[in-house]
Amino acid sequence: MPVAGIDVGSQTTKVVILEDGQIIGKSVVTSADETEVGARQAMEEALKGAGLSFDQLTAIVATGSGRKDVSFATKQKTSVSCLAKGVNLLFPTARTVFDVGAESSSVLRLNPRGLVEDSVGHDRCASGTGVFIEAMSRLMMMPLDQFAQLSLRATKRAEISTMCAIFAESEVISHVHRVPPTPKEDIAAGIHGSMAVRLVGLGKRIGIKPDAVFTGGMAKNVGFIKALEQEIKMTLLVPEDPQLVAALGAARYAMEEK
Amino acid sequence: MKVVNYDLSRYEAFIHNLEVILHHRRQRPTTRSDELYYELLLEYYRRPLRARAEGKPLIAHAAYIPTEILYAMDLVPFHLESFSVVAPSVLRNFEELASAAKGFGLTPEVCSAHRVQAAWFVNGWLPRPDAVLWSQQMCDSISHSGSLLREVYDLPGYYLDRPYRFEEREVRYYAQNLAEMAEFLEGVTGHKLDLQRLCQALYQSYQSSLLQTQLYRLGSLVPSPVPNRLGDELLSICNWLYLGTAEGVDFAQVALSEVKERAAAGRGVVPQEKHRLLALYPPPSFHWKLMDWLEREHGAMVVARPYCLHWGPWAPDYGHPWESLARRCFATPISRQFHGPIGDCMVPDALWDAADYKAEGAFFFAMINCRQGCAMVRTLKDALMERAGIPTLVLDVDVLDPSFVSEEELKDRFEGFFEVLAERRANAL
Repeated sequence: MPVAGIDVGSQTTKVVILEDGQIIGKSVVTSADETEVGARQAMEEALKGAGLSFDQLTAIVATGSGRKDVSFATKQKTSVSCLAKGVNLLFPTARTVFDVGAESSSVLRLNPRGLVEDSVGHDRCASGTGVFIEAMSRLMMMPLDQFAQLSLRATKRAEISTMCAIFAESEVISHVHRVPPTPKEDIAAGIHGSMAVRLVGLGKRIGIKPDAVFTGGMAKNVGFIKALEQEIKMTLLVPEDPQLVAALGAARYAMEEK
Repeated sequence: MKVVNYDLSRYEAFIHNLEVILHHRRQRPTTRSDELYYELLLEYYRRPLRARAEGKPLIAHAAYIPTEILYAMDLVPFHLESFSVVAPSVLRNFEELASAAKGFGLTPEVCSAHRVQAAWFVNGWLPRPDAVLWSQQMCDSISHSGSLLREVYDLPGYYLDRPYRFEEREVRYYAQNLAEMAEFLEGVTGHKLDLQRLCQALYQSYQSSLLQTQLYRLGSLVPSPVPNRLGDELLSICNWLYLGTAEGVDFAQVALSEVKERAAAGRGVVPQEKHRLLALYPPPSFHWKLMDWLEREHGAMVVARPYCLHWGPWAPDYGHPWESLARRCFATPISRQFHGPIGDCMVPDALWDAADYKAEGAFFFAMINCRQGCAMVRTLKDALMERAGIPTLVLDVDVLDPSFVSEEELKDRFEGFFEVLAERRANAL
């Protein structure tokens, strides 16, 4: 009996379809202005991949910031729960989860049974999130992937003293224009490094224990993975589809409900 | 700088808004204690406007200055922190006050309650007091607030030195301080302290503390018959504004009767109690409705508030009124838990309440510019998890600025927390 989980984020909507515990369909779609429209688009795409029709789904759990606006969901669950569920399925030894999306970041601490012991989030400003790194890559006039790869070639990090997205822009411009200019790879490493420091500072509020898992769209950024690993002095476990973890957790809840 | 011109229009608007709220409550009655809360609040804040006409000195005071002395000397007290917290939510003018405070050089890093307090002072928006009393309870902002008021209003003032720990030598020292403060007030106001009246006020405080403790204990029943709002209403009326008075005792008695009636019938506040929670810090003043939402939408009951109603043991000895008053001060909630090392009272009180009241979770409204409040968070969370096995939800808020975090965001965090609690229960943790 197929079930679905849908994660409505600020920039993307993700869907995972499970049948007998296996992923048979998935999608990541840019969120529309109308949450419901974006949710339906994401669902249609995932269903197409699974070769199913909507009526064949027996339960749908919605999560994410837009979860309450998904009219066709049979149940809602918060991101904290779904993220923990999804991570525990993929990495049962996980005790810390770093989740960084487009506009928010959070850290969860799990107990040995995969249940949330504590969590802390940051969604008050752009710094430390996907939109910040996107803005920085645009400032450096290169695609995001290239910007991330560039940071890996740095021999040292440029000091980016502020995490305010607006003021960081000024600092980067200063680095570019100083004589001699700061090498671009060092600037890229500095930006990723300062984001990682901020995220780890958040995590320290609740304690960071191995194994640590990294999820969310930013977990596809190789530069940020490296910077974060350097800060926590641990190797991160990164899922194959880091953006889909919460949707996977939601789908699992849907399965348990049936 | 000195205040030369006074403009009481905002204060009068505050009184008017309280009258409107009370009228609304009377039109749509809920409980007698709810109505009485607003009646007493209104009466308290009307008195400063009448004080001069009645020939009674008005004494501005910081939190935890023992009001028994003021009531015994027939002085009109004005509780600065209570006003600072209540007025902006009644007037909805936080932005104006914060901007005025900024003009005085106070940045957002300073506690919002004290920024708005400074704004009221320096602009001459408060009725002019005849003296100011303050101490270092419970924070360094309070310890500076009195001297600011003294300066801008050119007032006599007394700084009470509350010792850090509750030991016998400290009790004697504090008793002496209290007696000296009374002498200071006699000199400034011309009103003599009648020791018999002081003993009477002490008796009222003792009765109030007993009633509060009885009510607090009823929160341990399953389901809890104590409404979520009541704890903070009791704190405000009984411990801040009317401690040492018959009105304070009456309010506690009315509240207790309502709770006892529910308890006797085996009824909780909500038809189906789903979550039992410990509250570790007061809610922001503009989010009290959140307490109602917790009850109504999620059956989540605040069964204990160690900071607020957990009195320490004390009893008056009328043969030694000053020492009795000093002991009363050490035993009073918030001052008891927050003034000294948190390992002395706050942590043990929280652990005791977690077990005794069968709490499954706790929450802490972490006021972002409250240094000592936020400094407690980690210690409390770890103690509750490691020694009581319960998780704590920490919510970053501002005590007065409604723009810092939306109600939707706070509700979302609570809902996530309730899911965590449900999972823990299902897995029998």
